Amino acid sequence: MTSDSELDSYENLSAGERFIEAALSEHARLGRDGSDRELIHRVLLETVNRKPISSPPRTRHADRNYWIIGGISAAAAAVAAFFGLSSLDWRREIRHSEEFRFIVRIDENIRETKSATETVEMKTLAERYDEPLNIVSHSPGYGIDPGNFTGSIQLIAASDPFFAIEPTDRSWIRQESFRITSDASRISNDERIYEGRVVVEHPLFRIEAAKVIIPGVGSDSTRNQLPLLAREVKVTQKTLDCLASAAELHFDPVSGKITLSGVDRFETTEGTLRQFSATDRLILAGDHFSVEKTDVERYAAPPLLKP
Amino acid sequence: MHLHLISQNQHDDDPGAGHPDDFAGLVERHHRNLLVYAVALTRNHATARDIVQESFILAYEKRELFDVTRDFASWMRGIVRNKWREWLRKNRRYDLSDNELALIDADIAAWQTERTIEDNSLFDALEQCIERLPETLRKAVNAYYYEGRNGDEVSLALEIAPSAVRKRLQRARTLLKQCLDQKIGNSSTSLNSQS
Repeated sequence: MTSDSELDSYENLSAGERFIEAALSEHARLGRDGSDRELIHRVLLETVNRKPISSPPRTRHADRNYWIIGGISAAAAAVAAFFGLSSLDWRREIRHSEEFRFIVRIDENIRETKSATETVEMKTLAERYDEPLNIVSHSPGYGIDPGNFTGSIQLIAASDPFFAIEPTDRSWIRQESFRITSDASRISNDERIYEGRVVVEHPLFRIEAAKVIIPGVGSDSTRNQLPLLAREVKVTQKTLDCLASAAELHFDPVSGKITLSGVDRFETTEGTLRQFSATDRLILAGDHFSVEKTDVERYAAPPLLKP
Repeated sequence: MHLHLISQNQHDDDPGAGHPDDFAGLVERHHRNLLVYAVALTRNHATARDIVQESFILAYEKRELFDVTRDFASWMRGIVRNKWREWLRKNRRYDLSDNELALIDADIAAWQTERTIEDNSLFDALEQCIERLPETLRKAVNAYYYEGRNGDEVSLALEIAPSAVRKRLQRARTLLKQCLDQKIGNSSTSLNSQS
């Protein structure tokens, strides 16, 4: 029996088949007349719509003039400025962007009760090609009881159809797709770390952060391993029409909820909430928000304080 | 004929002249075929998108060097190819032979020309060709490419062995290639697909 990896492999395809494979997958992603709006936007942002980096703007043409009119030291300074500016430009131009998907799997006996949910999910998966960002849109929760969750969470690179993306046991029940764009990324201890103007785009929210950490692609993790952790964040949630800034953010793919700690500010269309204590946690769900105290505070033992 | 028509459209496809909106138009017009080309080269959508993005940016930076007697699509493919080679060197990934690369290049070039002449896009033709596939093959293609399922899932959905899924997809790709070649009259690539 042929293994799945062999089926998904390109190694044995002729050039003609490889061309067809690429055409099919791009057609599936974009549709007949569709455009990759996000790609076009990024290209235009870095070309015709690019804004000057510093004020006053310094052009490359001006740098060249230094060569002509300046002495050796002026020329050296100009060269240094030129290369410094160029390398800055280049780093900004090649902003790293990747698309991922969390696959949440639950135990088979629990899954049996979730068939209706799975039907909805499959439909959503089929429609994902209509989305410019190729992301799956759905509301949080899906009827899963986060407290009783006993499955696992796998992270895959969602944009690669040649990756063996789905669990073969078909026990997956929920997906959370998102895109991460950053200035730099690295892999450390089976984690992917993104730094420098990190943006996480999800159908329901957008996170801007100084740093984002996710597990390594393909790795299974439990819920306690903080599947997506962000630091120094600003998050906007579309369904609540709110904006929050905080020291740390944790996204839970099981419940679809965002937990913020070290909250600095929380704004909604109804007003602004500022009085957070250091231990307060702000929970953003799809259709509501709540503020919770940590367990330590909630269950601190007053009786022991009695004389 | 192709060169003549390109010459006629020279002004439209000259990134070095005119308003910045012209460049935006070029990006809009050419990005789909370049994505197909880059995916065929890299086997990876995210990498392909990065390469196409970087290629357009580089083209914009170097637009004054563009030779207006050349075809913009061809120039862009050259940039994509160079970016892909850079990526291969950095990542030590599976490479294509020169012959395979030339065949893929010819396929994309043919469709870019076809669009110039007949305004018939690769995706238009692909849809027509998919419709002509036998039902069993069409179901396999839909499940695998359009519904995003992997081989085992297609196997379960169609109630056939994974090896049968693989064969159906192979057969479908071969038929689609023949169909597209017929539509474009690309005899050289037809010969390749038969081999």
